Formats: sequence, structure tokens, C-alpha cells
Amino acid sequence: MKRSGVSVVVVTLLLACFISYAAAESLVDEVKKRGVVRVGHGNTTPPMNYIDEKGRWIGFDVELGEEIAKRLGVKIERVLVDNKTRVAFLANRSIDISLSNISVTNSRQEQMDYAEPPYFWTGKIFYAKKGKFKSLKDLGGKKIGVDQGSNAFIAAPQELAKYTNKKPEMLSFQNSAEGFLALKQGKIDAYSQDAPIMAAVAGSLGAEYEAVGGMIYSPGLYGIGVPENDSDWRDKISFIFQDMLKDGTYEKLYQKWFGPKGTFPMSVNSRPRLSNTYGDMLYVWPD
Amino acid sequence: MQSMKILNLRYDFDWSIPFREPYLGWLITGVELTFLIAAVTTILSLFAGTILAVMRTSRFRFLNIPARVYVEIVRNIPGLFWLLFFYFVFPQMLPFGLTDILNRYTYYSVIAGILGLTVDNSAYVSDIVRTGLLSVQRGHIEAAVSTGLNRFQQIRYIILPMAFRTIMPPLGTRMIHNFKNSSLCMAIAAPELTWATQQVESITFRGLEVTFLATVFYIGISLTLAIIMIRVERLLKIDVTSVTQMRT
Amino acid sequence: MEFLTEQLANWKFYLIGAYPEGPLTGLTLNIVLAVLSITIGLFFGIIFGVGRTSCRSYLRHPCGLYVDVIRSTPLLLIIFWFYFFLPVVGAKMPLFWCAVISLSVYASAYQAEIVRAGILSVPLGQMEAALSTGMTRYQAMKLVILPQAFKKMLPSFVSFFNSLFKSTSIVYIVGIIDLTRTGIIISQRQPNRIYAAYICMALGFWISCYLLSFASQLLEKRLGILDYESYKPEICRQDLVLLPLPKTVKRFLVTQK
Repeated sequence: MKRSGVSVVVVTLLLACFISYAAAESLVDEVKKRGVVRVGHGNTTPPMNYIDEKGRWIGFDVELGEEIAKRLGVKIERVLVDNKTRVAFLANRSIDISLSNISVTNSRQEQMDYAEPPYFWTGKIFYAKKGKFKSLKDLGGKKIGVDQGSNAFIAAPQELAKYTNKKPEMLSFQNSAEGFLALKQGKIDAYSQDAPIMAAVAGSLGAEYEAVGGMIYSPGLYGIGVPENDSDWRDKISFIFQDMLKDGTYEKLYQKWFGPKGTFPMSVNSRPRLSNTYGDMLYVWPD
Repeated sequence: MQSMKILNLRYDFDWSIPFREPYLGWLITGVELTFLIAAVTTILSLFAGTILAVMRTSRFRFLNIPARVYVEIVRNIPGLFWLLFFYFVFPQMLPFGLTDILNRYTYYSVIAGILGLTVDNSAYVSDIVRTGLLSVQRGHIEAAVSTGLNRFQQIRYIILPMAFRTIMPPLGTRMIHNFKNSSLCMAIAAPELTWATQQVESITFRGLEVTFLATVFYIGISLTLAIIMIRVERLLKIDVTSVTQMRT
Repeated sequence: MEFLTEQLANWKFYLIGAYPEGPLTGLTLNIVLAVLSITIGLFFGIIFGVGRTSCRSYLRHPCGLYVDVIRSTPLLLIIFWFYFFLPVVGAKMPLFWCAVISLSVYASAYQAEIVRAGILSVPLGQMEAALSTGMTRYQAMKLVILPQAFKKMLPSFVSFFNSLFKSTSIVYIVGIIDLTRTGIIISQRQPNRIYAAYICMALGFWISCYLLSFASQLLEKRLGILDYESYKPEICRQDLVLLPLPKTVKRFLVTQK
């Protein structure tokens, strides 16, 4: 009898792996009940999310996530995602919010939704040694590196096709820092990534590099990713974020990271809010 | 409303994805490269491992000690480290001209993968070959000496062939490990099969189909290799007995 | 040399990361991963290993299939399966546990082979003697065979633990910050110090593995190592009936003993 007892336990364990509860309720209730909101962050893309010298997990995304959890009134559980899983984990609901420098694109729209408005303006650049290439035309047939999972893999050849007939050779790296190292060592001719990330990755070495032709292509927006077809949850996150825009919390956070005295000072304005101009509150829905 | 479902998959399988362009092209290149990396690494590490093993069994200190140090270093460091090392660090160590030539070469990632896996694998192969060499009976060596063969000829014609016959099974196992280890090359952007599956996943967000196909591929090849090894082993054993019969 | 001392000032980052304030990372994470997965793997390894030596075919074949399949799949793919597939069936777990599970699955297959080799190394007479004293098969296995087998398995376990410890570095690919990732992060922060960072990374692995392999060599000399690595898939004639393959291929596949 003893042995059959053991096998019953094993079989139950195996079955338990395949049984799951299908939740029909909205995430709003589920998160409240759980008391924990699971937020997906990457850890390889400064300034949005990275590991600092002391081994802490910080970044603009990370602090934004913390603030959202605080306003939801629940604890935060940070889940590590990478460029490949930040969308997939939302689609299979392993995370409730994905805050990991996700550009809003059409192909991703099928798998996930975005809270309104996007939280960061950005654009992609071709990053290369200063003076090596004069314009994007020179990049035809050259080796271009991208992050595996970045939409630059599709966008960069499309952009170059406008200028030249020669197809570039695409290489994809596991993260931007490895790609930048490869660029520095001359393994690739240019690296294509969002401008603020590239600047932060290059850090003090940035002086030797530039955006080819000074061009920003494929201007994009970082959005807060939420699971598809859950409008209650999407609205909840949207309104929390809009409240942050209204009461200045977002501005404080932005100044801390990208302001003149911030960790990664930026000359361009990347806020979703265009201050002191007509249409100031354009991205915040009226009450 | 909570309902309990068995196998509640949050995923719609779309089996047309692996057969669509350009994904199919990536996968085919991936398979080719996987075979290429595995085959070249196997051959190189067999050579390197045999030389190392002969060096380790040598009486001369200047042959013996370097080989032992090499094996001790390599065996205690993960294979992945050697891949990263050969990709990012090794070209920088070379004199100026070579650094640029290597870095500009499009398929340097593949070369780095081959070098890294060879370094890792050769240490293990040398261990196996060494046990084989030590298992050759003294009598055979003495017989070889008495027929007037010099040391090189003894190793080449007498000791190595006998050693290889006994170490065939562990060597085969090592080669299958090596074949599986070729998947690590994705860490250094070599477009082999595992890299291709991840690439498809990152573009389409549907990686399970290709991952499934890749798994089937790896299992199929590993098992086929294993079965071939068993056949070879059996053939060799017959061979061994027939040799002994002939002698008596 | 200057670079190296500068790197060694980072020792805390290499060893434990931001622990206890932040998550545990670095070399300690590798050790924790290896210890956890070898323990869980041992539990399942015994189940599958004993199952493989069972005389009942409905136990032997599934266990053999499991061991063969896992041993022929690259560890990286096993990790990806758990990383991408577990969420699909609705199991939610942190990345760390994903890594522990996939490493445990990998370890359990190899440990099953160690256990099997251990059991086979105990002379058959022992089992017969135990059965003749009136013990059940379960009792005989637990009280007579396994204790003897374990003694012979010990060196193989230590040497497998060594190889598993090195394999834990692979989890860096899914983003876990182990020693490999730590070294890469540091080398990328200061690309001019790349040599020093790689030397530190290698030293961390080398020292811990050397101590382990030293232990396993001592044990090996005393107790002898079992052949758990040899790669013998157990495909039986019965399993092949179902496969749509030509007869010549099937005959080739069957391994006669």
C-alpha cells in the first residue's frame, strides 16, 4: 500500500502542474484581493531600468512602478523580464503591469494594451564612431547591431531602405551593453537603439560616438503595458498615471532622472506633457 | 466566477509560424550552424585533447606541467565563460592588426563559439584519452619497444589505437554533450538554432512552436548519435575479441 | 595588477551583490541555485533511478523516457521551456524558482543515472537474500540496496555537483544576476578594465570549483566513480511498434543487450 501512496502523491503533484484557475474577474479586483501587484522590469537598459554599482535594481521605470503600486495601495512584486519576455509575460498574465521601456507599436498591440498616455518620448538612432559615417546612406551593407527583442530589428532596415539599396547585415545581442561593447571593439559598424538608452549605456565614453547624421528615426513612445482586454485595469492604471502628471509627482521623478541636475541629464524634453505651451494638459483626460 | 480547467493554455498554437519566411530561413541557417559548430569543435577538441593527454602522460616536466595546469584551469571554469572570453576579450589581447581583422569578420561570433567550446571540451577529452592511455598494458608497450619503434611511433601506432578502442563510449558521450553545448553560442550572437528560436520569439512573441521543433531536433540528433555510438561500441567489441582470438 | 586590486574592491558585488538590502546576486546565488537544485534533483533522481531498475515495464519505460529526453536536451532549452511555457499553463513563479525548477529537472535526470548505476553495482544476490528473509521489494530497496548503493554513489554525486555548479552560470541568459552577469556588468561599466573583470569572474568560479573537484578526487580515489555519464538510451522493441518507421530503421534503433 505504501508504494501506491507515493505514486498517488507524485501523480497529484504532476497534475497540479497542469491545473490552473482561470480568472474571469478584472485584475483590479484580483490585485486588491492578492494585495500584491506584479510589475515587470528589465535590468539591462539604463536609465530606464538597470543594476547600479552597488547591485541595486533602479531606474526611471522602477521608481514609476513603485509609485503606481503605492497609489494602488498594494505591495509591489518586481518581476524580472527581458526584451523577449516583457510582452510575452503580459500576454500570459504572469505580470500585471509591464514597465520596461516598451515602445508602442502596432505588432505589439495585438498581444497587449497600453495605459494612456505613454510616459516617455523617444526615438531610435544609429550610434557609431564620430565621423565614420556622414549620413544614413553610408550605412548600406554595413553591420548593424540591435537588441534581441527590440523593434529596431524591423525598423532599422526599413529606415535604411529609404536611403540606399544595399541591405544592412543585422546582428542581435542579448542587451544594449553587450552591443555597445561590440560596437566599441569594432565588431559592428553601428548600433541602433533608443537615444536616451544609448547615451546612458555609453556613459562617459559617449564623447567618442554620435548619432549618424544627427538623425532620429522611428520616433516612438514608451507605454505602460497592461494585459489585453481588461479595460477596467487599463483605466485604473491610466488614471493613476494621469493623477501623477497632474499633481507633479511625475515631474519630480522626471527631474530626478533627466532634469539638469538629474542622474542622466537630457537636453530634449521627453515628457508626455508639453509645459507652458498651448495644449499643456493634452495628454491628460479632462475630468 | 472561478472555474477550474485542466490544461488551461493561455496560448494559441500557430504551427504555420516556423514555416513562414524569414523565420524558416533563420531556422535552417541555425540548424546548419549548429552542425558546423558541433562538428568542427568535435574534431578540434579530439586533436587538442589527444595532444594534451599524451603530454600529461609524458615523463618530461616541461610537457607534463603545462598540460596539467591547462586542464586544471579549464575544468574548473564554466564553458560559458570561455565563449564570452573568446568573443569579448580574446581579440583585444592580440597585437593590433589582428584585433581589427577578427573584430571586423562577420562570423567572428561563430569562430569565438568554436574556440570557446573547443577549449572547454578538450580538457574533458584529454581526461578521457589519458585514462585510455593509462589502461594500455605495459606488456604491449614493452613489446613495441623491443621491436625497435621510437617513442613517437609507439604512441602513434601502438598505444593510441588501443587506447581509443577502450575509450570509445565515454568519448561518444562527451561528443553528445558537446553537441548540446553548441546551444550556448547564442550568448555571443552566433545565429545557431537556439538563437534562431529566440529571435522568432522576440519578433512574433510566439516562441513555443519553434522551441518545440528545436527541442525535437536536439533530442533526435542526440539519441541518434547515442545509438550510433552503441552500434560502434558493439562492432568494436567484436573486433577486439577477434583480434585476441587471432593472437591465440 | 593595479586593475586587479581595484576590481577586488568590488568583492562584495561579485560575492553577494546588494544583499541584504537588495536581492541576492553574484557567486552566492550560483551556490544557492546549485545546492537547491541538487537537493530537489536528488529526491526525483531517486524516484526515477529506482523506477528505471524496476522489473515492472509500466514504471521502467516512462522513467527511462524521462531520463533520455532530459539528457538529450540542452540545459538552455530546458530553461527556456520553463521560462516561457510554465506561465502559459498558468503557473506563476519568480524567475529564481523557474531557474531552480529547470536546473532540478536537469539534475534529476543525471542523478537518476547515478542512482541506477549505484543500484546495479550492488550484487543481485543481495536483493535475493533480502527477499528470502521475507522483506517486501520496497523494504529491501530501502533497507538493503540503497544504503549500499549510496556509498558508491557519493563520489559521482560530488563530481556531478561540480558540473551542475558550473552549469548554473547559464541562467545568466534569462537575466538572473549570477557571477557571470555580475562580471559582464562590471566589464561593461568600465570597458578598459575588461581583463580584470573577466579574471575576477574566472577566479570566483575556479576557486569554488577547485575545492569541490579536490573533494571529489579524494572520494573518487577512495570509493571509485560510477559510470553515470555514458549515454545509453533504452529504446525497447515495444516502444518502437508505435513509431511510423521502416523496419530496417527500427531494427537499427533497438539496442540489444
